[in-house]
Amino acid sequence: MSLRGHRIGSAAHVPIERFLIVEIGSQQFALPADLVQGLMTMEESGFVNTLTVQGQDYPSLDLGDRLGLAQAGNGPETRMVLLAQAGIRACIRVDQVHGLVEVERPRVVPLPGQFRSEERNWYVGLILYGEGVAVGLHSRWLLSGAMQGHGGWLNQSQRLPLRLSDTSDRMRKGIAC
Amino acid sequence: MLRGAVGRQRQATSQLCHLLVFSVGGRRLAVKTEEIGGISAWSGSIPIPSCTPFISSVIRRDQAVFPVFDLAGMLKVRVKGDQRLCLMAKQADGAMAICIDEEMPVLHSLDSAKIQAYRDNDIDTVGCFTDEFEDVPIIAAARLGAA
Repeated sequence: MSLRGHRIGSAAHVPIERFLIVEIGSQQFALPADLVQGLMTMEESGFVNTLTVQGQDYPSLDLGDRLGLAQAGNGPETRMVLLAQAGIRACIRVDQVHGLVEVERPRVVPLPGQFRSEERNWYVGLILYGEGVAVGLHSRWLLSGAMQGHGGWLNQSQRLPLRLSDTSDRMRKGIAC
Repeated sequence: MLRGAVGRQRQATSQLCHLLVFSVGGRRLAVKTEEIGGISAWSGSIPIPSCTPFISSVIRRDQAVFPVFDLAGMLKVRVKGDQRLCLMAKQADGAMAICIDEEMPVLHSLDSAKIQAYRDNDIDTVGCFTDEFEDVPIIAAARLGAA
């Protein structure tokens, strides 16, 4: 199974990167698509500190708190995003999922040099998305607070299917399997 | 868009310094015109979580993204007006946007010898000049946010 999304940009043969665009505290962030294992509604996930899905534990990471953002309360668009890389698993609560996008690499703008502090380790760059900008989060930083698992590298066969339980129009346009 | 300063007389032997006088939160400031990349309407910024003091948002212009320096926050004032302006400051790392009051900036030329030391240390300057109203600090736009 592979993920497809709508593509930003037009030139052929340009390297692309894939991101899941989410919203936290009215700001848009881009999660590297290769981290994303699935999406769950709050109804499906419940309110727990660690989600267990297909026998794998996904400890909850408070991304809003790490970024100093005021996250909205749970609403109909709230989702839990399951993340995993190199045996490290985590889930994050987002206020909304906008969709999966393929972005031509030139449209991933480096963080301007005037940003001089710790945030340089947080972001891979700024993604030109729609009329605005989504902040591309760095995989390593994103999972740095998660509990170390024992599974080693996840190969493709171990990946959980991306769950498309969401029925909103936006999600249907944004993600297809 | 910009008005020329009135009442300034040139001396044949003086070295003129060209400034743009603008205001932030009603406070008058100046910047050397050579450190300015342009002025346009302010169309809002996009927040970026950041630990860098006074740099926590960007603006997008077509395919380019520029950081925003919160000069008003540094001066502990609020930008005035509904039709705010965007001043682009030239820096070594690229242009940086500053949101300023809607009051139209004014071009101003003066003898470089009239630039004095700025006594306060609330902002990084290259000095100040005195006009009929007050001391006007000349901000070091190229160094904003570098401290």
